[in-house]
Amino acid sequence: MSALARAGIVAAILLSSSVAQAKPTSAQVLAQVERNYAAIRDYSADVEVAINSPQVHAAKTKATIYYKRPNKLKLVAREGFAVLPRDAFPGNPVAAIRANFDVAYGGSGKAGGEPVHVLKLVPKTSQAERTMKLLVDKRRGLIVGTEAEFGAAKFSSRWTYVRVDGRYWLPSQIKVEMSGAMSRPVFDPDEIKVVPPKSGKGTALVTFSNYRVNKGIPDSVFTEKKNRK
Amino acid sequence: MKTCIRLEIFKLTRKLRSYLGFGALAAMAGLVVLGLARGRPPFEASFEQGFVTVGSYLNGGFVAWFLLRMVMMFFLPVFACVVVGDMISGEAADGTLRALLSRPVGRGSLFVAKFAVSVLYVIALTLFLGVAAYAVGAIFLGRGALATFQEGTMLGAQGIYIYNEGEGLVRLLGAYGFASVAVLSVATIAFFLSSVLTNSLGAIGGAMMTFILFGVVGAIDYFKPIHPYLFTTHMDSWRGLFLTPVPWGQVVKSLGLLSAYIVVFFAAGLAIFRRKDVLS
Amino acid sequence: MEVIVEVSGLKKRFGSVCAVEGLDLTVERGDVFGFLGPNGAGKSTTIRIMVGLVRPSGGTVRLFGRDVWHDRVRALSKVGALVESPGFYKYLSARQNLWLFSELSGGVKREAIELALARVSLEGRADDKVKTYSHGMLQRLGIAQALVSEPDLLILDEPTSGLDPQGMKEVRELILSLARDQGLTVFLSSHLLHEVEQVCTKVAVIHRGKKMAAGPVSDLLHSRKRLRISVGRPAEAAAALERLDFAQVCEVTADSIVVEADDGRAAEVNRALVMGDFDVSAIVPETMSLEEFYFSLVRSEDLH
Repeated sequence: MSALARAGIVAAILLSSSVAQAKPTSAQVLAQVERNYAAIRDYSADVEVAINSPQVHAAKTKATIYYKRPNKLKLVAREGFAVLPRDAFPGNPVAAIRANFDVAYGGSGKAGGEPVHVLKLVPKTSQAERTMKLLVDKRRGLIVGTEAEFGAAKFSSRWTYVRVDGRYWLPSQIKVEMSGAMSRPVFDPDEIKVVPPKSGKGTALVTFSNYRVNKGIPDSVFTEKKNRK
Repeated sequence: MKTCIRLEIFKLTRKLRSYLGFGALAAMAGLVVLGLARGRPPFEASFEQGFVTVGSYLNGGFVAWFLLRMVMMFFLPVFACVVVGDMISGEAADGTLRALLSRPVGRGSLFVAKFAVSVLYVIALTLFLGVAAYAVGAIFLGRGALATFQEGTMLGAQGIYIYNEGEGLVRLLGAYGFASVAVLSVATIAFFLSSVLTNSLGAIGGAMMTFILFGVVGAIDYFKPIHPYLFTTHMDSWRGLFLTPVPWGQVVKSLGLLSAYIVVFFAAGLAIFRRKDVLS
Repeated sequence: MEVIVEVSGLKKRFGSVCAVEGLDLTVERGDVFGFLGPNGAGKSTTIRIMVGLVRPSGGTVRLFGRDVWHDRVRALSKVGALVESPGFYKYLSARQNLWLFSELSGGVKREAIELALARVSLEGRADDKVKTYSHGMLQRLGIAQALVSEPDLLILDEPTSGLDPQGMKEVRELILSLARDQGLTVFLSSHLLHEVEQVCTKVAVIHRGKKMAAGPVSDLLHSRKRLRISVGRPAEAAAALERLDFAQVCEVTADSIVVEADDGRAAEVNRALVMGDFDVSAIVPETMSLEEFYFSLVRSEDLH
């Protein structure tokens, strides 16, 4: 075999392997995430939130979260009122993501030492959502983090998981970090005094425990108006 | 002295005027709860980025916090002064002071007894507000976590501070306790004026005018150097009890200044009362 | 005789006005002491000082040997007082008012309250709120209030003020019986002279803050005499006596003049007239009533 032929074969092998490792599409990644939720029909869990940011100070607020396939999600504040960080959106987010965002593949990255896919999310209707990056763990296909920017404020979150009932991977803890100048909550719309937005760092810790998976949750839980326990 | 206090309480409870403040505060609690239950919430806790809210923060604890915020800087002091300002000058005007003082009772004892009963009244009035607000709020809006809203006036703290119900109750208790001292500071001025004037309206009006005047001066930047010495500046420090961490330095300093006003006006009133000619 | 009230060198200034000047008084146990003087003479101020309402500028008042201003509680422990118009809590009943005031004096049994009400004939209205009372009833209640704590000394400022003649008579009789039957010592001020004459054993007259005269009534009435002098040329005679400082002409008729003079000075008056070439045909001394005595005192003070 001539040297050229050998080089050609090596090049062909390399080329084919790199083709085999070709960039996945955003659809493929989302499908990988969705597979984790395939076996979960519904679950409920206890949520504990602790927030310490310039805007919100809440130590250990308790809530309960209910999820039912495909995209029913309900949070009930166990003491009547709770505030949660936007970046902690457990449940099956895939359907919501597909509905509200245009998803594009943004390459590879690392989060917590693990290789991740990066998905870029651009809101379809710009109002309520933010442009953000989704970090999906390459090995298990789980969302392990988000990064978002809104004006001068930056948000990033890291998710850790626990295996429930030996089968289901569900978040055990979501840690959110915020920085920059965030607009403060609108108080008393008639207020005359204008206070400039506070700049600073903040964290929120959302802990999930006591998962009850596939135990059956009636639809009425999600339509019930009263949000009190 | 115990006799004096007992008799003063007897007299106080037999006057209609003593109950007006309680009635007014109960009515205010009722109206506020009605407004909260029907209308839009006073604080739009909507965050553009970062957070979502779940549930409603309207409950007994919130009403107790909200009402204190509303009535502290005017109504509560007025209702207290209306009774306390009448303590001595009312008797002077009615001619009963000379009847009292021609009895074998020391002037100091009488003065202290009347002040003690005034203190009890202020505490009762303030705590009643808290209890009424919490109870009426709890009955019509339920109970739950306490969410308080700070607009940056207290040490630049902004945002929502949320506490679970138990901790909320403890903080509310502390806040109402602080409020008693704050209201007492105005009431002691009314009491002092009551002991030197023979006209209750003068005592009540004088105390309220001092209160308003100090409040106005406290809002004008030019007078910034004297702001820390005005009692009105410190009456709001109860709000610090709903922050995390609680600015104890500020709260204690405020309590100290308010107490100083109380002690000074009490002592001055006592000294004058013991020596003055009772011509009424 | 035990001294119950002792006023020594009492002085009171209000700014530049001297309300009481150098007043000395002594009231002994069992006295019914009348304190006389026109309005503004200093009676009320003196009484207020006596019950510790007003601080003396100088001098002392002792009740039962104790200084009223410095030892109030003990000085007033056996004293019942009524200062000017009675002060009561209009929103309470008469009974409640009496109970309240008696508690400040150490508390009394219920019977004492009932007795006080009975003494002033108010038992029937005892549970009505005082704001429904007439002026006369208030006055009677005021006296009841002074009596309710079973005092040994009563200090009353114009006790019959506002009462009708029947009421006045009842109060007079009450005071007399209290003094006579229970040995109460009474110090009262009044401007009703004939009343004081009926009730009091001793009087003091005060004018412009100064004591003019004091002592048992009969002594005083005998200390000064009215002389009805039948004399020729009465008008000129009156003029001639003007320079005398121990006598004042108070009446001139067609044939006589009436002269008030200290006891024992009749002869000097006579001499003055005779030396002035007036024909004195008769000098008739008359004992003055308290009213006449009082006016003569006041007049003589005014003239000086």
